Parts: sequence; C-alpha cells; structure tokens
Amino acid sequence: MTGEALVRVDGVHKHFPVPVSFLSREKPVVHALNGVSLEIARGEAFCVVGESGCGKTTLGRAIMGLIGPTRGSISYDDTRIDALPEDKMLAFRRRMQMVFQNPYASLNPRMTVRRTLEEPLRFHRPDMTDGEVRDHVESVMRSVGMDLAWGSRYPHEFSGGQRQRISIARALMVDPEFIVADEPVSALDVSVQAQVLNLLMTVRKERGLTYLFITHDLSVVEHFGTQVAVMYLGVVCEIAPTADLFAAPRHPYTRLLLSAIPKLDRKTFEAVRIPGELPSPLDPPPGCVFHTRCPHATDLCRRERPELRSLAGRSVACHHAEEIGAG
Amino acid sequence: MALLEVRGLEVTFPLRGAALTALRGVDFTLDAGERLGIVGESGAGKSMAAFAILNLISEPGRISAGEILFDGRDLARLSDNHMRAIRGNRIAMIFQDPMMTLNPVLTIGTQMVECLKAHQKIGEAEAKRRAIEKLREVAIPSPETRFDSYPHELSGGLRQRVVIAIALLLDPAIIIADEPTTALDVTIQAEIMGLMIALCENHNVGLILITHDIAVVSEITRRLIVMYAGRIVEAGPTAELIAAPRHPYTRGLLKALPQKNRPGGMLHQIPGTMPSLAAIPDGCAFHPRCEHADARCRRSVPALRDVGGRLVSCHHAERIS
Repeated sequence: MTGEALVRVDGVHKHFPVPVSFLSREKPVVHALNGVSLEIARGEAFCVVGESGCGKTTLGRAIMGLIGPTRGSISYDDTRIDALPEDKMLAFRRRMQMVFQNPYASLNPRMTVRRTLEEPLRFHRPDMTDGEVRDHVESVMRSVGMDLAWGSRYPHEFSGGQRQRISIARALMVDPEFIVADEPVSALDVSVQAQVLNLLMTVRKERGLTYLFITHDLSVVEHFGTQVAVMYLGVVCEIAPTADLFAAPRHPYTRLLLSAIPKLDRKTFEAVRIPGELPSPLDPPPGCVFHTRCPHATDLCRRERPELRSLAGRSVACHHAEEIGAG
Repeated sequence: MALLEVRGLEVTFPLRGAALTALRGVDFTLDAGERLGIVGESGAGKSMAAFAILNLISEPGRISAGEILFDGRDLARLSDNHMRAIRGNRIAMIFQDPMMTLNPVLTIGTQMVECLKAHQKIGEAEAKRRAIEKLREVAIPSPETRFDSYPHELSGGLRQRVVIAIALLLDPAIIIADEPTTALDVTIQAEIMGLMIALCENHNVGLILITHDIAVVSEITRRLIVMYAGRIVEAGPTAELIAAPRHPYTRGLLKALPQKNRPGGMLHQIPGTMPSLAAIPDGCAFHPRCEHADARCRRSVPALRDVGGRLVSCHHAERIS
C-alpha cells in the first residue's frame, strides 16, 4: 500500500540558541537536528524511535511547520513547505494534523468536547453550515468509538485513554491525509494503550492515512510501524522496514537499543553494557556521533561522519556496517 | 521466617462521611535477598502498598486494618519516632523521579553526609569516606568530584544512581523501588536494573519493585504480585505467572502487550478502564471488564486462594487456564 513519497526531508539541521547573558561573547547552540534526510511514502506508518534528546520530536515539529529548519528542506507532496508564507501554508495545515503525548495538556479544559471537535472545522472550513459541522462531528465521533453524549462534557471528566481518543477525533475532523503522532500512548496504561493503538491502526486502514509515529517504545514500533528510522543525537542512524530492522539490526546503536528492551520470555537479566553517557547536543562529537560509545569505533569513525547509505534493502549510517551485520 | 510479612493490610481515606478503601486485604511476605515485583495499572494500589509499609500514608488516609511485621515489630502500630529509625535506615525507598528525591540546592555530598549523620553517630570525615565509597559502588565515574556536584549537573541516569547510593548508605535490609526506571531511557533503564540486581545480591537486600511494566519485572523478580483496584488478584513465581496467567485481568494485561501480538494485527484489548476508588464495583472488582463474568462474580468477592501452587482471586480460576 506504499507509493510515492508524501514527505521528503532533505539535509535538515535545526539549531536552537541557548539563552546566555547578553554580555557573553559565546553563542552556544543545541544541535537538535544534524543533517536529517528521509522520505515517508504514502500509506506508510513511519516510526521514528530514539532516546530523549535524539531530536525525534524536533523532527516531527519541523515537518509540521511548527518550527523552521536552520538548514535543509522539507517537501510535502512535491511542494517545499519549510519556508512557505502563512497563507500558503494554511492549505497544507489542513492536510496534516498532530496528536500529542499528553492528553491532559493538549485539550482545552474550558471547552466542551463538541467545541473542541468543531474548532478545526470552523477554522479550516468556514464554508460549512452549522448543520454540516454538527453532522460531521457526530460521524467522526462515531467512527472513533465515542459516545455522542461525550460532546457536552469537559476534558476533566475523562480518563487518559478517553482523552487521547478525543485528541485523535480532533485530528481527524478536517479529513487529513498525514498525521504526526508524538508519543501518543506513552502516558497510558497497558490495557488502554492497546485500545488507542488499535484505534490508530483502524483509522489508518479506513482512511488510508500516512503516519509519522514518534516514540521511544520499541515494542510499540515493532507492532505498529511499517518503516523505522532510528535517531541518535540529531542524526538518523538507520532506516529500514520494521521486520528487517528487528530481525537484523545493522547500526551498532540500533543493536544496543534492541538488546536493551526488556523481554517477557527472558528469564534472566542480561545487562547490556554501554560505556559512557549521551554526549551533549551543545557539542556533538566529530565524525560519527556514536563513536564515543561504540564498541566498533575506529579512527575513521572519529574523523569522518558516515552518511546514510543503502545496504541490504535499508539505509545505514555506519562505516563498518558490513562487518557488523555479519557478526 | 520471612523478613517482612504483610497481613490483611487495609488503607482507607475518609471522604464526606464515607470511607474510600484504597487497599483491601493485602497479604505478602518478603525474604532476605528476595526480589518481589508488584505490577498493576494506575489506581491499582501498588504505590499505596509501598507507602503503607513505610507508614507514609498521608492524612487523612490511614492504615485501618492489618499488620506489617518486620524485625519482630508491627510497623503499622509504631510511633513516628520509632518509625523514623527504620525508614531510610532499615527499609529504604527509591522513587520514580530522581529530581524530586534530591534536594536541588544541596550538593549530593551534603545530602549523603546529612543522611548518614542523622542515623548514625559518625564524624564528617568518616561520613564523606563512606559516601564516596557508595558512589563508587553504584559505578559513578570519578566519585570524589561528583561528591561536590549539584543534582542538576548530572544526567538522569547518574541522578538515579545517586539515589540508589543514598538508599544503600545505611545498609538497609529492604529497598522498595517505585517505578525506578520509568522516567529513564531504555538503555539507561537496562544499566540501572543490572546495577540494582547486583547490589541486592551482593548485600543480600530484599527488593520490592513496583512498576506498571511487566517486561521489566519478568527479567528482575522471582515472585510477582498483580494488583487491581486495591486488591491482589494473582501472586506466584514470576516466570510461571507470566507463562500461564490464571486471573482474567493478568491474562488480559499480558495479551495487550505488543510483544504478545502479531506485528500489524489488532492488539488484544481489555474493554473499559480501572474503576475509581469511589466506584469499585460490587463482587469481583474486575467483573464489568471480564469476559468470563457471571452472576456469582457480580455478587460475591472472590477470595485469594491457592490454585495449582499460585494464589488467584477468581471464581473461575480452574476453568480459565
């Protein structure tokens, strides 16, 4: 069900200035994204996975046009959108929607559920009559399994899972084709997480949606994703079809990450030893960003940054991917 | 004899003339050096159980029934003064967020020395020596320098190591860890868990690990308790319980995990949500969400009973397996 690229991210950098005293000569910047390139094909459930500070949220926000990249370009359906004026961007905003991690913060506590759901239509579809708005709200509510009686209630009356259902309904109101979901199930309990993931999978199938799914939870990725990009310190390490990545990770960081997932069927604890700490994004290491912690690092890795290259049906950014894959 | 024995523990909170029961009839034991897991979702009462053991239930909540036997004393009936000598000393606790546990305006060294001097009669130099020794034990690089660091200067993983070092300072018999790695990244989580296992084994410390993450307890604990709506619904050896859960809630919880499902397929889901304390259903608290529920489940609360070497509170435990 995949087709041509819907979203194309090309060499994107994002630097955030760090607040310092105005007398200071130094202007330190956080390198949140450091030359990220990837393509999301239509119909894909594209997952971005990585640990805190790897830049996955920044990437999602840059694609949504919520922050502008420092360098590089982002295209949506073959149109460059990273520097579009606001009036031109509006047409794209309707085609892409976002679901956030914290359903307690992303719903306005003073709006009834019905108002919350009407809001996107009132903004993007001023042509719709009140009756059409009402009908549309009700049809979306039904399609995500919401009771119509929820409409007159306020967010505080709902549990986390129900709120996330409302957030998803809100995102679907304007019939988008692309949804960025940033950790949508991380704040939820296991049984509720299953309900929300099922809903996301069902609406994807029913509406032919494309997802950018940002998460730190690898077991969710394995279940949900069709493609995965693994990020570390603002850089993409590996992009592969989900099944391939989990069957045979090629990048040393991916291997490390996969070995650290707690497993139900593992009776004893196998501690993975990762030397060192995540380097500061204020001053990322030269060469390969992972070399300071990588067991395979050589002089080449310390000197030269590996670019993403094709290897065995995937992309890997590692100088030694061939040798590592064999072992 | 068990190191810690909890019997019929009940915690209630008065509310507008009525009483909310947060914990009901909780029984379990912990041996020296044993690792016990308590799992459940939000509102199951797992943290409440930990707080109750340390007599940290905040007013107006109170332990309304039951005993907590430790060192030949009942902690549920101990005066504040006596309890203070046990808390942090014989039984230590590790919380989810290390930034909330550590005082942001004091160096970690000051906090460690303060803790030692509050419980033991030792001098400044000796306290510092022992603090640095503990920092080294939890594998903090260059502990002498870190001794003078403030919490904000450390990464999340290092902070949690400091918290573990503080918990170990007074050589406790039991450590209660409430979601100790939930705020951490998965690679850091693996390191912290490895460290906690090693330390508990080396010092013969009993560990009660409270978490929502079944995969984490499955790797770390030998015995497991599953809680739902303030009660224990199933308890037994971790590996057996995970391989063949008997309570419908445990079964549903395990089946809902992405790891247990075919990638891309629909996940098994338990309908509904955990009831609030104010509206715990009659009979078995799980019955509105249970596919096996019948008239009996709606009427009478199932007792926790032995079913094939495991404790299960379900009327239909024999039938479901």
